[in-house]
Amino acid sequence: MLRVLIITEQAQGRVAADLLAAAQQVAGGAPCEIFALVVNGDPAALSGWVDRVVSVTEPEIGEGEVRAIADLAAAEHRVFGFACILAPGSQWGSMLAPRLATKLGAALVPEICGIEPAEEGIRFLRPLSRGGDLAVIAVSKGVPAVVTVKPRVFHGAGRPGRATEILEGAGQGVRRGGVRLLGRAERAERDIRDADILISAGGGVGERIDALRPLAEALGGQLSTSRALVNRGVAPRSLQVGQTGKTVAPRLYMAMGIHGASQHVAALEGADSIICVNTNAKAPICSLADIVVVGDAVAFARDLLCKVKEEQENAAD
Amino acid sequence: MKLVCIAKTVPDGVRSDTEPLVPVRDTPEARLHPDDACAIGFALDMKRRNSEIRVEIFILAEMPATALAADIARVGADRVTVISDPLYQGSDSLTEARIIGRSLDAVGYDCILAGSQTVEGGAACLPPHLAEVLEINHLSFIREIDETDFTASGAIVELRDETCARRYGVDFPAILGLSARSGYRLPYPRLKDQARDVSDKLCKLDNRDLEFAPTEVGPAAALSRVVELRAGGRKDRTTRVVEGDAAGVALVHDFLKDMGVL
Repeated sequence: MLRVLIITEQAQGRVAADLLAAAQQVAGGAPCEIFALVVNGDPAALSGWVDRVVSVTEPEIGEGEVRAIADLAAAEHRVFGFACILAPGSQWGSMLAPRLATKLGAALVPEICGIEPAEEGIRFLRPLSRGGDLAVIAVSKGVPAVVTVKPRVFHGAGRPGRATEILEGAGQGVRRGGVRLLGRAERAERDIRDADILISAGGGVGERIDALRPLAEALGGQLSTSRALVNRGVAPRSLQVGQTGKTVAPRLYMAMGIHGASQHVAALEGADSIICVNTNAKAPICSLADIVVVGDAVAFARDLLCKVKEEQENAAD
Repeated sequence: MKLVCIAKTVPDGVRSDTEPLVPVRDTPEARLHPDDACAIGFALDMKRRNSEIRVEIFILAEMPATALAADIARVGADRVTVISDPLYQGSDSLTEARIIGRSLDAVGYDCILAGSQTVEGGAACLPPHLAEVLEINHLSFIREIDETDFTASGAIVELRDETCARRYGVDFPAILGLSARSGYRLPYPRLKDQARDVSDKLCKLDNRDLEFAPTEVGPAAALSRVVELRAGGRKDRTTRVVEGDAAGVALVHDFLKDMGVL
């Protein structure tokens, strides 16, 4: 039977929903056992999601010690023989997966955004360049794959109601020490270049920029602006997207009342999806958009926020 | 104290051949990856502060890199080694790590400095692969290194992501992967140095020195392969135009749901 392991990130308090969704896609319709490796976390959070949780409680394995995590995953692989091991596409996962692949002699496929069944084994899709082509990657027959999963691309997997067995893993024999977490500080002002989702205000929003903040927060994003608002003194330059501001590469860019001068558009080449809300559907930025909403940006943001909250309340009931 | 920097040359763009289906980076305009340049800039800065630090650079090059290597020697590197062989072209990151690992066999080091990201913007896999090959510590995505605490035994570094900043203590030997946004800069050679002979600082390694079997390097050694390229990108997408009414709100809501934003 096909066996898949997901490695949950240390210091992540929630179920790694995208890893679970990707793991189910690896299996396709075939019988499959899904395992999870949880180090210093709560194995019960995965009840119903996976078949087996290997839980290791070892306070000495700190957050930066990916070498120890690689050793633990390799030990489980030697016992269970996983066809595929999935790690998050975060900084942590990106440091872990290559180490683990090297240790196992496995094929590394970083930052996958899709999985396709194939006659021989599994095929993975990954972006070849930002906002550009996709490469379809085949792993050599009989070779396990270690992949990192592009954040928030895989979704839609409900709790499958699996009977979850929790196994206690042993932390003996793993390499530890050498990297110590000394401190962690939430960033008060986040850099828009790091943002995954940007709600960006332009001249059509003007002084009403703060009216977009609740939508940005509801979507887990940040506010940014065009040069027009910086020049008017409405927003600081640190929030400006454009050639004289910052080049950004979010997964979602919502251009709210932005005209789209060439200097602004040039800084958006890395954006995966663009939604424009503008009273003028012929504004230059609209030609880049996946969706153009014709209307007032602030009014639309308010209505969309209501819809998001309404759906969230319905889901909670 | 000895610092080793590992770097790769990159072209100005990446084209894709149809046969074999691999991204090709053999355009003649070699330049250093910005993250790698940043790592070298940091090492040379530390050397300027402490003359007892020795800096060696290893450049894995798929294209001519002699001029580039000479320029790095002219701005203060003690030795610059270019690793290049036609057999190595098309190697995956693990094979590249093995090539560099073997190149470092006879070279002592306290710390290896490298970049953090690929030219396409993804996470660079070579440094963590190399860390496992050499069995040493590793951290990437470093935005800041505490210069006052940078000693032969270790360093204190800061990593940042979207939500927080983390400070780590790292014991050497280790690989530290810097982000170009850390702000360290590789200086340009001064005008008076541009014609200075630095041939005594330059070295070349190829497969006659490293002795890999042909099956151990290049595409033959890869455990995965690109079997298809698909056009993507925004240019191929259809733009949907909707009004800002309830139907428009519903469409955008569904789009965000499909993206996994909601």
